[in-house]
Amino acid sequence: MKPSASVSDAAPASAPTYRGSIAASAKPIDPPKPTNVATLSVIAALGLCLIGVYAIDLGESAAPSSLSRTATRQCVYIAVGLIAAIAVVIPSPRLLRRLAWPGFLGCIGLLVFLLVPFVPESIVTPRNGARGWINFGVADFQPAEVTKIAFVLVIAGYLRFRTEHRTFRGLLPLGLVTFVPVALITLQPDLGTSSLFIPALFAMLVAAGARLRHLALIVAMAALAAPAVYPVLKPHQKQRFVALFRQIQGDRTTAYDINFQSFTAQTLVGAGRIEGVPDVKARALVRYSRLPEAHNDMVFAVIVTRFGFAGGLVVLALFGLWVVGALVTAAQSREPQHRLICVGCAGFIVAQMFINVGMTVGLLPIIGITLPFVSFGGSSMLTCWLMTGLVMHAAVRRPRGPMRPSFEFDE
Amino acid sequence: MRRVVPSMFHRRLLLLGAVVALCAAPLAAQLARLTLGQGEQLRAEAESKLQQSRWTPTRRGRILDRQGRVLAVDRPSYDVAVAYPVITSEWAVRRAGSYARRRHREAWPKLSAFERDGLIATYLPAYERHLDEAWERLAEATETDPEVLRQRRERVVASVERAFESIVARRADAERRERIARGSEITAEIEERISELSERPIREQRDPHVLVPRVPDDVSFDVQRLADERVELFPGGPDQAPDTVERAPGLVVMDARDRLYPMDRLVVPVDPSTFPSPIASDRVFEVEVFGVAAHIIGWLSGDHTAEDVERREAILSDRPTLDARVRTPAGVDRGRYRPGDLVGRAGIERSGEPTLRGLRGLRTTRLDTGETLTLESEAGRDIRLTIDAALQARVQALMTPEVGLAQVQPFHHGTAPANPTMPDGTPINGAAVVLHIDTAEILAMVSMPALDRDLLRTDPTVIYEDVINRPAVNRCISVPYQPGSIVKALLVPSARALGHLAAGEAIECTGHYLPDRRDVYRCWIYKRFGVLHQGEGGYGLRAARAIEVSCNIFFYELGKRLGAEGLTKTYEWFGLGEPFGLGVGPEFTGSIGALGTGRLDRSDQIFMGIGQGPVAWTPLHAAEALATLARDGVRLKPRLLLEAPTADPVELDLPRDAIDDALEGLRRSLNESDGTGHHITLPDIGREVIFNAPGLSIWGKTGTATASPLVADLDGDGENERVREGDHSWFVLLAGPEGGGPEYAVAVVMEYAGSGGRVSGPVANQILHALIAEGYLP
Repeated sequence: MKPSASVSDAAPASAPTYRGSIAASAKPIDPPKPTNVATLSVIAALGLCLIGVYAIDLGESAAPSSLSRTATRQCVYIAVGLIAAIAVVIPSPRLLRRLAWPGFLGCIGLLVFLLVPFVPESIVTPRNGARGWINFGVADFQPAEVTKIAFVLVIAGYLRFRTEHRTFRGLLPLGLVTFVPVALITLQPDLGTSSLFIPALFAMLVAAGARLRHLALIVAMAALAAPAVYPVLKPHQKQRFVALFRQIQGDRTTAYDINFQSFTAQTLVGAGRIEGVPDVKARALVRYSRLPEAHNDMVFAVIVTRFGFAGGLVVLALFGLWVVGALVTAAQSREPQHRLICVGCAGFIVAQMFINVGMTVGLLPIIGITLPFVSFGGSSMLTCWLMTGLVMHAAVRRPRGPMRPSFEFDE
Repeated sequence: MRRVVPSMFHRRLLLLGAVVALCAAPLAAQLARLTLGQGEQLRAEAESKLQQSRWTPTRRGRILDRQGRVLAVDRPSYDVAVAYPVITSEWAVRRAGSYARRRHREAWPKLSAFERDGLIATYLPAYERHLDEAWERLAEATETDPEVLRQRRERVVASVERAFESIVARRADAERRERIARGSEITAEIEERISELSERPIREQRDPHVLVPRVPDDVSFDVQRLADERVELFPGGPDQAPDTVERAPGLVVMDARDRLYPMDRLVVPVDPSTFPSPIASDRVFEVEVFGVAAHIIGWLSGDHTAEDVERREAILSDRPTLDARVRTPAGVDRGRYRPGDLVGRAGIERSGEPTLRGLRGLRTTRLDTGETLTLESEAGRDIRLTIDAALQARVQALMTPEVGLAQVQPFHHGTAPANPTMPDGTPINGAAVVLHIDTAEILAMVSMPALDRDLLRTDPTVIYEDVINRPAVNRCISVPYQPGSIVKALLVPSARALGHLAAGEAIECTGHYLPDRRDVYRCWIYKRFGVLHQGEGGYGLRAARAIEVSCNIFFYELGKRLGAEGLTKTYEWFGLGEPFGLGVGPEFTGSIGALGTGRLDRSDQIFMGIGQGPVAWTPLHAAEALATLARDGVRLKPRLLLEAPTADPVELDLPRDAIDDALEGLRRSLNESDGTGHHITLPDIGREVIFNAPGLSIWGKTGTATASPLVADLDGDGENERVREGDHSWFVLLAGPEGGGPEYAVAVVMEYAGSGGRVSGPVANQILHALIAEGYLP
């Protein structure tokens, strides 16, 4: 994955029109060859994966003798993810751009397929009531995960040389493009995954120079409209909000019913204290607290039990490192598509991490969402590594010759 | 900013980075709060889940009599309980619901609530039928009438619903008060939230409830086998997938303890050859007595109350050493009340609760290591009573109406007119106390009628509604009786001690106390026979002679001389006004003076000289007073617990020769032919000596005390009738082997039975025979 000078970037196909003036200092100069900061993201991702495999094993078997079945499978997923990451570094940006829309439409097709009634359960097996997986025999595949990649590519490709998103009306097509996968995934229902698209889109819009007051206005309107959504929620979703409010109010009466998962997770998190507990003890604590989804959504609680506050901070720091890698790569890059891909991927990873950790420590309602790189799951792992691969893809391609600055507007 | 970072894109990236950091901050803060702030507590909470603790049963201490005979003991037994949702049949609905969900897994999420209910309804009958069958099987296994079982279920449901309502009300109240205290306004919305909060299910709505208590071993095995059985149910018809359910859902066999009272029912031989001749016979017969010492032993009940819990907490906080002994390392009281625990309700079972109550063991298993830590259970400690159960049973047998002494006999009233409220054959209620003088140990304490434990268990209202006989009342300690003439001997030493009577002083019997009134304050002999008592020299009576013949004039005079102060002192010296503290139920401490005032006018003072007027005590007071006299004026509190430390004796400092005079009077009263306790005169037979046990020295005194009539509205017309009237019959007695001093004090009272000598005398005589039979007297 060495940065290769031979890989060249194609010149933009159409001449862009600038509404604003070019910032004076942003003169196109051939920059000195920077260090490949995407390596930081790769290191962070590998670290998180290692911690994840250990935590999955910890949450599943009582003794550390040999790796549990789930942890072994996770290793396979990581390997697949790595291969996919390498694979995504290779193709040219143009090819990626060409594949973006067909890929996105393909994903939408799969998402629609998931919702088609009368599809036999041998193909679409509901899990926890959600129709999110397609059975491919060897492994289950979650189209919503890969949709994220396609989404990032499509949006990045769309915003590449545009300025319409600087107007309020210009945000509309982006909203429509986002609405389709969000709606389809929400219908599965998988509120967790669907809730990630908006933050990722916003991150890309902010980076692409959309006017902040437009974005703030949208956020304000959404906040005002949010209560109207509440009655439409499913009973179990409502219950989670109620549970969160009671928990924040200090009401412990729900610790054994609707808030069981959250309270158990928090108890385990707290049990880690500063330095965590030894391996065997941690296994026992996780096992007998009957933490649901210990290897999956709740894996962060397992990590903190084992490694304490220190371990929790290390995990957060590794995510920070990944994001730094992605954002600095974006900063170093001159190609607008690369810039937005990095920001979009970071948006997805950060949002997902934030929601997952937030619900584990009791700040957010319980919602089914995995911790990137750490939680068990093939589709999720594949997506996360694809994102890492995309960041690397951006990092290894240096602009040759003068390059117009992108996303530089008068504020 | 623009100058530092000229590129907008880079500024935007910095903005995004800042947002990320800003979002991460609360995560880190909450992480710190949980791990650093609450870590210790949450670690403990998590670790508590590694342990599984199970209580192991314990045994309640025994109650023994002075000879070591077992009066109360635990017997292992089992309670059959059923989970509440099964009792209410809610189980069937839940189970049908989950089956329906399982069977229609694919379609379920798309079904409307109405369609779902319809599906559930199709499967419900199968589960309901299954429950009906389970109840039948349970009735069969426990050998219970199905109808009875059904009624018990209804009772459980009713009581749980009541409890739920009251708890919900209490919770809502507390919640509301807390919110008001926090200063929040109670709006309709908050009110809704409060009721939602308070209506969460209570434990009783999940727990099993005992439906068949105290089943023996073999039944419990059958029930356990039934509880372990599983069957396949075909709710959707025979060709559809079955649901495997318990044969008898929610059935649990629980460890329980049953309390046995092995000496509660006894067959006692009675020898009527020494009875008064009208009812004497040579044929020894057997009497079955029930409720032997039940007033003393008390009883248990199976459902403890909040007061029991509070009482135990209070006892533990009062006694730190006990508190330390009963707690587990985690600080849980091993003797705390749990549902189904037996708790002392009356008598020693109640007052001895802290001693008798056992401590449960605790078996703690570490789930991760499999390590087991066992805290052994500790049986409750035994309590040994001063009561001799065999003597108690004999005395009770004597006072059983069928035996004859305790039912109205023609010879009881002799030539006097019969008591209209107590025709011949009426059972006489009464009480008798036998006290060992030197130790003040109570050997026997019988109150008749006895308490029927079976009735107490099955239909206690019958006991509590019997206002005439009041079987639950222990007459020996809790019913006030005027003492009558039995106090006369006590007045002599106290009058001497207070300087109201000179040594050897004689007082003349004038027949009537007031020279110009022949109709009031009369001597009994003047009233009945129109004659006067003669002193030894022909003139006045000295103290011993006055006691022997029970001269009223002598003691009216003493009463007058002692005055209010002297009389109060006298009665208090001999034990009035202080509780015995026996711990076997309410005690009447004795009273002097018009109720509540304590004031004594001149007439009261004169009457109190002969134990009448505004003074009342109990049979135990009478026995204690006589025992004090026999100890030469040393008071010792009567006691019931053999191993408890004795109370400090109180020296009354009464003149020794006055006590001798009093004892001499008591001796003569039973042993000289002029003595009022010497004989009874029977129609057609003539005089018959009351005490006929050979080889004993005896002292004693009769008493016939006026009693307020007993009124009750028996016919239910709203007005009270006199159901009992007449005098209470007293006899007090001291006895020891011939030639020696007194060893036992006996007091007998027979309610509304008339003459002390005629009714209580023969009972006291038989008590002496019982003491001989049990080896206490030669």
